[in-house]
Amino acid sequence: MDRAQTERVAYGLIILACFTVLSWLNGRYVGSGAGQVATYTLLGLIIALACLAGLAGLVLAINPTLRASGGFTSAWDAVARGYLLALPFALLALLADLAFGWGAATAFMQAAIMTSGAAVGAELMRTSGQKTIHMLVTMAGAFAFSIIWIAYSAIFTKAVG
Amino acid sequence: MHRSEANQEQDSGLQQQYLTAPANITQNRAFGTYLRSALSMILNPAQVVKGALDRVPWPLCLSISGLAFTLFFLQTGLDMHRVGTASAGAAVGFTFLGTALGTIGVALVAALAWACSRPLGCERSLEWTVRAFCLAYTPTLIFCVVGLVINLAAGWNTAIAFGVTGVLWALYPVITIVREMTAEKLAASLLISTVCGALVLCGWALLGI
Repeated sequence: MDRAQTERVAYGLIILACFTVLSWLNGRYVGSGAGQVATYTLLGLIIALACLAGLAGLVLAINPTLRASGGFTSAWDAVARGYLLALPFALLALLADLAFGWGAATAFMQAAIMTSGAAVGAELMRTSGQKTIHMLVTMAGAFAFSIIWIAYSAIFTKAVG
Repeated sequence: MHRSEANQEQDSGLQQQYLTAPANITQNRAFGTYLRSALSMILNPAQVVKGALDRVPWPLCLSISGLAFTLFFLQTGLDMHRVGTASAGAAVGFTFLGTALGTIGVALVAALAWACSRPLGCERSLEWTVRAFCLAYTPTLIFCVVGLVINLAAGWNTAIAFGVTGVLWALYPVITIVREMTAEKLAASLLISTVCGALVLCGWALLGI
């Protein structure tokens, strides 16, 4: 396995772990009982990964350099590098929830989604000669991701009664 | 005329124009640069970190983080006063604690990050680090101003929804600053930033609630 593949797997696992933690912390307030929390966490993880794939698709659509270099894989790598920023948010969310009992997992989730989206946009701007469109599109994508998450939580709460 | 001579003439002309411009116009331009640098910290901090940060005066940087935490703690005090767990005097006291955390506390956290980054190839000065960390709390200030308006106008409890969210938004500029200080070492910068973020949140938890 070459360095790029190793990084891709490592970044993927870190992001998976971060969204599992954030989703689980959110689920503790949305669902009641281990079954509901586990269902919420699993569905949340699927939604998060689908949103990240959607964001990678958006990035690919606006960036001809990525389309020429490696297609979706390159776009996914760019998104994954930005979303590594979710790691401090996940760790701090654990601290806030388990040590202080703040119940602010949603704030941590939203901040992680939006700031990581900004990081993706800033990185794409840097590599593409400061084109603002990259920041606008990735921020719009991150905003959509955050709205989808809020909607998912609301729908789940309604569904489980 | 030779090209370099023409450029020199143009540069000296611009300098002359800048020097002879009325003081208020020069001040407005400088203030505009500071404002742009502060706002860039929200979405594209790398641009500020690698560029205009040295030109932003340190009192402005310190007042941004100081004011951000002052308003954050004021909201905490107001929330606690509203639910009956703090008196009006305690709410005012929290506000001063916020000022202390936003200035002395943030400077100490910056100093810790600087000390941790030294063995990893940090070439930036302590003054630069403190200045950068203070400016990183621009998003916190914006969230706290909006939160305070909603707190006072609608009577909502906003300390967590706006205050904590604002502090979390500052993590992105902090990570970018630490990355610059550790010569782009991602793992180390994530670790140091997490510790810095945890210290600030713990500071709020211990002082404010």
